[in-house]
Order: sequence, then structure tokens, then C-alpha cells
Amino acid sequence: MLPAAASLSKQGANKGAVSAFLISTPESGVDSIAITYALLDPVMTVVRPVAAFLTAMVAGLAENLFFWQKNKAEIVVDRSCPVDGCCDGLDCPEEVHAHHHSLGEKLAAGVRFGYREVWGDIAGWFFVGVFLAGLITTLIPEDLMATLLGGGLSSMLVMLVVGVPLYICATASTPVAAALIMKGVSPGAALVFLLVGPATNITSLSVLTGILGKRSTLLYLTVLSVCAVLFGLGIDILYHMAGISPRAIIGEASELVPDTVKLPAVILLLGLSVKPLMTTMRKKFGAKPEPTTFISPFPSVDRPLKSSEYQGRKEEKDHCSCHK
Amino acid sequence: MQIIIKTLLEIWHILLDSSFYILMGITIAGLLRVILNPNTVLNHLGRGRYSSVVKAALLGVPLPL
Repeated sequence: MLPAAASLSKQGANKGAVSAFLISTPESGVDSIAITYALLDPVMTVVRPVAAFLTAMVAGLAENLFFWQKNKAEIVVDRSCPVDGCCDGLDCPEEVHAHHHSLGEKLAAGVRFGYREVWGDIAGWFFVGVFLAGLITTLIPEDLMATLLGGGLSSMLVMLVVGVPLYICATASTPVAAALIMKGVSPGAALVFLLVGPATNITSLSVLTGILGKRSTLLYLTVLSVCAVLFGLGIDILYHMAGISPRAIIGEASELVPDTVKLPAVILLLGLSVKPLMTTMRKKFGAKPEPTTFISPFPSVDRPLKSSEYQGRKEEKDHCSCHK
Repeated sequence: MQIIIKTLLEIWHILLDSSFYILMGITIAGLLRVILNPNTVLNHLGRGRYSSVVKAALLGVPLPL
């Protein structure tokens, strides 16, 4: 995330646009929208991206309203081919550049990217989130959470204090939020956690200070916190007025998926997780873990993709040089 | 011991409930990436003082991470 922001800034985007992008990207994404629908409810599925968009807009507009600075850097756009980087697109005519690959190749590359890179970035965090959710469900007594975080400004502030320094990505924070709501935490307080958890953490704030400067980072953090609390309070009122009990409708969407699909989906997802988890483990503990520690249900899940990709790439590289 | 089993069961249920939707989410996220490379986002932002912010905020919503 942060490298993207740094490169946006270097490429000539202004500070307001960078702040906005840095809020709406981690707070919401198609992956987290899908899992929110599965584990939370339709209200949250809509509110999360809307809140992310509005928060990002307020933060970015405030930045450019108060501290407008034109970014003098020349706008440099990375036009390299997103499928396999076969062409940098610099001297390549637009029509040729758009047709280096067939639609099928593009779709395959997209799916491959989703399963490898997107899931690779999230997988480790996701399992931490699921594990935390499991612990919350079994260990935390029912009444404790309801009295502490049952709603109101104080609940929102507690969640803010927890969420700002903590890093948890939007997808991984979802099962945690679901477990909290089931324990009686108000949906508004859970929303504060869902918004602030992914958007900030101690490391990102220090990196942001480097990219945007102290003043703008402070503005970013202030707008983010105020918006999260306001959305939290607002959503509690919404549930109350509509007479919806969040506990009753949580996770209902998963019933739409037939049981015969659920199990293969878990197996496929676990299969896709083996590689990223091993990479994370290796990075964390240095030593290469025994392969036997990770039992993959279908170790060959991504093999067919790999071999076809290899063959495809070689040919593509040959015909894809824009006749330079 | 019972707590461990209960936790594991809970984790299994969460996985069952969410895996299908996650697969859909990461598939669409991957396709988006081919259509909308984060590095080319700037192409769409432009130089405007306010319009660039609105576009940046909007583009960030579907993009993962």
C-alpha cells in the first residue's frame, strides 16, 4: 500500500489525492466487500465502502483546501503491459498496445493475479483474523463486551484507541468484527474498528509523515478518526431506527451458498494459501520450515496454471515487441 | 481441551462461511488489476485541486489493500 502511495506522489499526484487514495484503498476493496457480505450483513456491505469513499474524500478535500500545493513533478505514467510486462508501452501505439494479448489471456492473467498476488498479500493476515475471531467467540464472556462496547461515544473511542496503532487488513478484520458483534459489541463500534484498523498503524503513520509531512499526516489522522466515530454513531442509530438486530442477521448470506460448494471452496482456498503462508513463515522465522508442517489438501492446485503460463509467456514475449 | 476444540470448530465454520465469497472477491480483484493497474491510476487523476481527490477516493474503493 505505502509503496503505491510513494510512487503516486513521485509520479506527480497532489497530496490531497494521495491522502484520499491511502484511505479508500485499504479501507475497502472488492475482496473485503465480498467477505463482509458473507460474514456480516448487507447493511455493513454497503456502509463500509461508502464510509471509506466519504472519509477519503473529506480527508483529501480538506488537505487540498487548507494546504494546496501543486505537485510540480512531471506526470509519469507506467503504461507497461499488465499481463506479463512484455512491453513498456512507451513508444507503442495505443491500438497495438491494447491488443498484445487476447481477452482470454487477459482474463487468465487477472485470475492468476488474484489468486497469487492479491490472496498472497492477504492470506497470512486472514488466518490471524479468523483465529482471533475463534478465540473471541470461545473465550470472551457474553456480558463483558455488551456492557463495555454496547454503543455510544465511549465504545467508539475505545475502538479508535485499539484500531489506530493496530494493523489488520480489511479482509482479515471482518471475521473479528463479526465475532465482536456476536458478543454484543454494537455494529457502530465494530465499524470504527473496520475503518480505522486497516487504514492506519504505527509504521504506516511514520512512513506517511515522510511522504506527506507532519501537518498533513495529522490532518489525515484527525479526519479519519472523526469520520469513523461519526459513521459508527450513525450506523448504530440506523440499526436502532430500522429495528434490525445485528446479531440476528449476521452471516446470513453464507446460507445462500449450497453446502456442496462450501467445502470445495474451503479446500481450494486452503490450497491457494499454502504457498503464501510458507513464504510468510520463512520470512518470520528465518529457517525453512519442514514441508510436512503444511498439509495441503490438493498440493497440485496451482500447478496446471503454472505450466500453461510458462508456455504462454515464452511465445508472448516473442510476438509482443511492438516491432521496435 | 474443550476450549481448543470449540475454537477450532469456530474457525472451521468461519472458513466454510467465507471461502466461497473470498474466492469470488480475489477473482474480481485480480481482473480489476489487469484492467486498472494501480500505477496507471494517476493517468485518470489529472491535476485538478478537487476533481483529482474525488477520482482518487472513488478508484480506491474497489482496489484491494
